[in-house]
Amino acid sequence: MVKGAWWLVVGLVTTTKHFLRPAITVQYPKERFPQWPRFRGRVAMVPDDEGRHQCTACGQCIRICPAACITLERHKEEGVKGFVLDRYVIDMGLCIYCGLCVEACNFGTLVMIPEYEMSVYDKAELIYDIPKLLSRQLAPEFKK
Amino acid sequence: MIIYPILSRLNEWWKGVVAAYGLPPEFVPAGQMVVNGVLIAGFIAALVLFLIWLTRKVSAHIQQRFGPMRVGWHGAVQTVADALKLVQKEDTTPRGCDRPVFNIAPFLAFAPTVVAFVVIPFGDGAIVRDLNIGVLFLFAVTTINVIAIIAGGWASGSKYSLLGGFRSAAQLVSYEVPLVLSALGVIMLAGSMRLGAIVDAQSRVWFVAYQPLAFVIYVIAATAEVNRTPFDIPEAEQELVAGFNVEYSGMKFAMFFLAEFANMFLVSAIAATLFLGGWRGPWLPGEFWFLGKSFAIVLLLMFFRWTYPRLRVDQLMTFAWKFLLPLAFLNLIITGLIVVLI
Amino acid sequence: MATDTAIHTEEFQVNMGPQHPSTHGVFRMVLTLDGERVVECEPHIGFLHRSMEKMAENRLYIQFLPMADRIDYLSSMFCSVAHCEAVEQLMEIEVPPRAKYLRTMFMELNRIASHCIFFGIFALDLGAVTPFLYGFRERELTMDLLEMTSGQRLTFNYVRFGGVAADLPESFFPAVEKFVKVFPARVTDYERILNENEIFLARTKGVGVVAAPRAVNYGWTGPNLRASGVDFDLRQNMPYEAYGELGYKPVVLSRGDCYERYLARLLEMRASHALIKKCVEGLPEGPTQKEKVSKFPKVPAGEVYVRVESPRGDYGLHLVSDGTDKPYRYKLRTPSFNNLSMIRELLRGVYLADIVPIFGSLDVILPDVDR
Repeated sequence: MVKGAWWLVVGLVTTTKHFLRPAITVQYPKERFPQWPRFRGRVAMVPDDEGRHQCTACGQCIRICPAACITLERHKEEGVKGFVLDRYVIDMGLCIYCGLCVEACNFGTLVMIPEYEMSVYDKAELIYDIPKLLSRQLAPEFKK
Repeated sequence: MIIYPILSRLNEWWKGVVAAYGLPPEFVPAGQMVVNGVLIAGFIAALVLFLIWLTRKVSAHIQQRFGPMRVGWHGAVQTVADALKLVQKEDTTPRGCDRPVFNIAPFLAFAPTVVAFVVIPFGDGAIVRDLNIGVLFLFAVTTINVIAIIAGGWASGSKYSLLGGFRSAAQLVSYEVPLVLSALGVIMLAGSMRLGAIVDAQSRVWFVAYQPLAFVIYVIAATAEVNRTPFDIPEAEQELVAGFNVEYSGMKFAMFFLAEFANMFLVSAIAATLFLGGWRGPWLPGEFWFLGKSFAIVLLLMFFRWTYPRLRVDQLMTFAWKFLLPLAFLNLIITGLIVVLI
Repeated sequence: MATDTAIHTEEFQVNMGPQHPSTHGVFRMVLTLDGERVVECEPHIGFLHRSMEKMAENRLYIQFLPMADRIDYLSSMFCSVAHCEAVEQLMEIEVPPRAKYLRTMFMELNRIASHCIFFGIFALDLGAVTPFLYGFRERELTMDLLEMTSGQRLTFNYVRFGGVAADLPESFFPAVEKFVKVFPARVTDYERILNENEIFLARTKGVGVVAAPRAVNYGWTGPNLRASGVDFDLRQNMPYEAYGELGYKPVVLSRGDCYERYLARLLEMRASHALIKKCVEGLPEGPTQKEKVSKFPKVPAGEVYVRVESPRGDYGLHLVSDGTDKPYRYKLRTPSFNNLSMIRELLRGVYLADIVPIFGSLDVILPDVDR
């Protein structure tokens, strides 16, 4: 019985110990949690030096995507080796943020950037075409 | 030291007014009663607001988080926001309910607490009415809570509320007995039931030093009386059958909720008065000591709530009848023997 | 919600519906009560059925890998490892030792994370709110480590055929040192709050006792089985990945009540911590993925049954391949399904208030049950 009472007191002591420690909450949206470099946020395209995409329209990313969210259109042009990309669209509403497309691409076209605030009011805004994929809308300066 | 001089000056002024305007002399106590009532009600209202904020902050910091931070400075206005929200909620009344009882039950839970504050000494001489049967009055009035809970459960018209109300009532009634018995030890030592006398008798040593066992029993029984963890079966969402207040919404639910916090402060204030020396203490005016001691016990109750799991209903009853009650009797016998022999 | 019966002592039915704070996930139980005692319990599952097995038949092996994470999202590493091991066994690929150690280390980290949730939710069900937040604080440590390496906190998509996706980043080593140093003190904190707490003991000791033969007959595995006294742990009896080299002695208790099941998981957290320490210290050099393994393998025809010891028990994957690049049959033997099968027996004759600790101590996760 005494042992029981003792352990009840120990429980209270532990709680008090935690009470005296500082709180560890990160108060979003005033403060943000910093992301690790490998964090898988949304998919984005890597611009080359002139700001253009580097996609060769090979279609490996479409082959590997589990959610079938990538669409691309291409055509063959005379005198140009390989395909020419017409349209490249990723539906971020379907994307499961797995990062397999980034791994599948042999040309370094795709990358995952730490942008995770993807809420929109209209679902059509979630369809990312090439200009949107090339742009970056990262969250404001991280604190903490 | 603070309240008593102000009140007596107010009293003198009011007597003067009554005499000057030629009003019948019954107006003097009537005016006193009005002022006292307003003061107590105001005190409880402000207190409950503060307590709810305090409990959220304390629970948050125990869990290493912040609690309310955005509404006012560190969430100080959060309770007001919550109260406003509850007030504008739809006041549902279930179909099979007993309407008059349904409407009265929340206020019936709140009223005894307000009445009980009449005999609590807030400071030196700052008691509304220092009754000769102070302790008896306190326990008698707080037992009306049981009626309120049964009324709430019955009037909801749902068998689950009724069962919840019965369970709650059984819990409250079982824990009344050790509660009163532990206070009896203090009464024996002080020789009187008058709360002013009890506080005076602690002028040198607090009764907690003479009656540690009674103090522990009192705190445990008081936690059960106010339906707090580890005895909060009526309020637990994880339990299958919800408690007596499941059908209440809006302002009535707010009344039950506020009544619980007011009750919690009441039992802490009683503990401070009976065991910890009331308003006695060096340097600072008595009111500060009284509030400080009461809040210390309130803090203890809050830590209980956030640390311990919940007892099962039958374990709860076993604990009261087979464990606390014999201990309380033991304490009583020992105290009686000591008082007689010494 | 319930049938309208009289109030006198007659049995009445109560629905512990799909939405309830204490059923961990969407699980429905129709209870027939006689006063305070449960007379009969009828479980209804299937609210979280996502037809994972059927989806696997229509996806390439690599495409299903992120979805394998989501079969049991609290222990997603184990599901991925089972998937990759099955493919590797059918294709006879040898995994390099560094990859084995990495897989083992992250599996143990995931086990700690899952047990932290169990600890928190078990305490929460019984009324103690604080340990829940402490458990989640510990989880943050493990999730940070996993996020550093794989990029995600819950469904990692880190295992690949023939190894792991990427090597450890530079920031990993100081972080894991800190974790190894800090974690045992935190577990001691948990023990101090709950282990010997009178109220906790009163609620869980002697409640829901399951003897070893009955546990084995119902197909129980994992900490539930070990709490009943059966010394069986896949990491010891059928070692896979790096467990053979590391050696593992499982936590075996004897009485099989709720308290012992809780204690088994708490002690397993400590054992996992020791394993992680060994992994970090003995991490071999070398490649993290076997060379020349295609991302789109054509798995030779055959069948294989892979077992891993997930935090809930024995997670089994029976993969039947017909020589194409999609599975022919992807049968999952999930531990929570078998652990839940005894719920009817267990709940017969117990108090209403005991349902919650019993159900909580089984550590059943509904996505695991329903797939």
